[in-house]
Amino acid sequence: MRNRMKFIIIIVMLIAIVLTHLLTGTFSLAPGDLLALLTNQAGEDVELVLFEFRMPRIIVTLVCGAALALSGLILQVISKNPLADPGIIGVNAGSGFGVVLFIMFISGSMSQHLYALPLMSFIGGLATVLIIFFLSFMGGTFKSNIFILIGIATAMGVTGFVYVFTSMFDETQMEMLNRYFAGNIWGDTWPFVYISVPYILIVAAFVFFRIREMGMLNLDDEMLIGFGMNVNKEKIILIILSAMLSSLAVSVCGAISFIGLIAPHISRLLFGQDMKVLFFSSLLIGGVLLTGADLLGKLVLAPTIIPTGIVVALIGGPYFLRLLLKARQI
Amino acid sequence: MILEAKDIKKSYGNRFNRTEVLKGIDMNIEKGEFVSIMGASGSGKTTLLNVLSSIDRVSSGHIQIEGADITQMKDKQLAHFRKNDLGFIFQEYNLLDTLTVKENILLPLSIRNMKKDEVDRQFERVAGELGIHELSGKYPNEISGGQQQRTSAARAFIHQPKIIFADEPTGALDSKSASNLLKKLQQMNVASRSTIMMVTHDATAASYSGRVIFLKDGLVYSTLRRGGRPQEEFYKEIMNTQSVLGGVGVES
Repeated sequence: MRNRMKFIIIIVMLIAIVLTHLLTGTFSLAPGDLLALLTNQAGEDVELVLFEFRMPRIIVTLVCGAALALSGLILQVISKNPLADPGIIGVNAGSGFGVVLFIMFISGSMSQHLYALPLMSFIGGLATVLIIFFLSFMGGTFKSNIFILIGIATAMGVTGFVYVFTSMFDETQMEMLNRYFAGNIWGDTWPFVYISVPYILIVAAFVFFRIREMGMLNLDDEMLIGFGMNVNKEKIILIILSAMLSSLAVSVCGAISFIGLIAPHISRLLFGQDMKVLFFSSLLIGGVLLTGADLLGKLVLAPTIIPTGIVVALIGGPYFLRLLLKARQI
Repeated sequence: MILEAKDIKKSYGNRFNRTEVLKGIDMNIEKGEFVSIMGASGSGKTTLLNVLSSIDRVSSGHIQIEGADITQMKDKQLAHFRKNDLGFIFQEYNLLDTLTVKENILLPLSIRNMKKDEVDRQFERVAGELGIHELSGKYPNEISGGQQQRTSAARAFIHQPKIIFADEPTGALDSKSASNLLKKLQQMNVASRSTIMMVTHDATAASYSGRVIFLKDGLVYSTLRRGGRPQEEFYKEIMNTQSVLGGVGVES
């Protein structure tokens, strides 16, 4: 019952953020405009702003925030480490590398290669996680904590490569890359919604059917092996799903970190350990956090827009430190 | 004979730096036996339990359980075998806090498709034998350590496995809860003819079993059988052997 209250509060927050989003910006709207839109009496300019500019951006941030949160939840479950985050294990670095390759070899105007950029970013992110993944199998058995460590090391290496390439960049190319790394939501038009949202929802549905296994992974591996569970297989499937979620998200919304770390953590603080509840609450809280950060970035220094990724980092950094300090106490 | 191990060896490490933990162990266990394995830390007792229970693979040698050679099985076969024929109890209770005692006990059955009335029948059986009826609706954090370990034991017995492997099951319990658990294990052993193999460093715990195998440096050092003797006498003999082996009593 209390859980239901918390869920309602989160959903109300989400609706409030979405509505504020719809109404604010360079072109302010009144609540009446929304009503007018519903009854098909709105002016063309209102329709244009809402449908072409704000709606797709909200949908992308909402769904990507949820995807990052779920991705982080999966990684934390399989590594039994509450500090795991898709950004930490190299998804962002890998996607960044994909973006660098894009700028180097395809580049030019973005409009001509609308899908090439997110595609390269997606492949970069997924490939990095898979490389890390196979490296962590080299010892024979898969150990999740080694996976995280190899992930951090590989992310560093890939980031190094990124900067080697950037030495060959001119100013416009550099600016483009910086926009990516700052976590600008660049895929904020309908085509980007179509290429990311459906796939994220499909992957999330696959995760939904593994909730029971995710819950059981809280037990020691020996115990699960004793139950006859193929622990390695379960972990592999979950890691691939997690990598797909985060690379999809990052490919349309830029290098956003911390959401995958914080959202599941807040969920656990609010709702405890029940995996089914955590699944839904992480999705919601991830959505709230990213849309909220996007909204803050839009409003705080208006009309200047702070990149969403920066807002997330400004809030997430201190929070991460708090977690680390608290963990040291235990 | 339910379990037959022939010359099993297990070593860890790489080409340049190998540690041989088990150096050639032979062992036969009859159906319905309650066997304890003792030895100093580093003697290889947990490694032995892990290879016998197929959690870990041997480096060489053969292990047959009811005639099936588990060292030759593929991973998938092994998983199937563990699911159906083995039960495990560890020092950590390994219960999910989000599930009730009953749901925790039924976890091994939830992986397979079993009819609901059959599931209930199995639960009634182990809950009766281990005395956890009044706990069934509670959550693990609402019950004592001893009760949690009994829950864990019930989970190990729920699917009527051929052998139960227990690794220091009383390691985290106070002496009263420990003897309570061991009595229950002993009853299960007698009543349902289940075979139990337990690793322990505690002579009292070992005195509940019918046979104690001592390991030293990866080899079987000696074997004691209780026979028809009272538990007290058997305990003394275990203590004596332990002191000859040396250094065991102080292990935490």
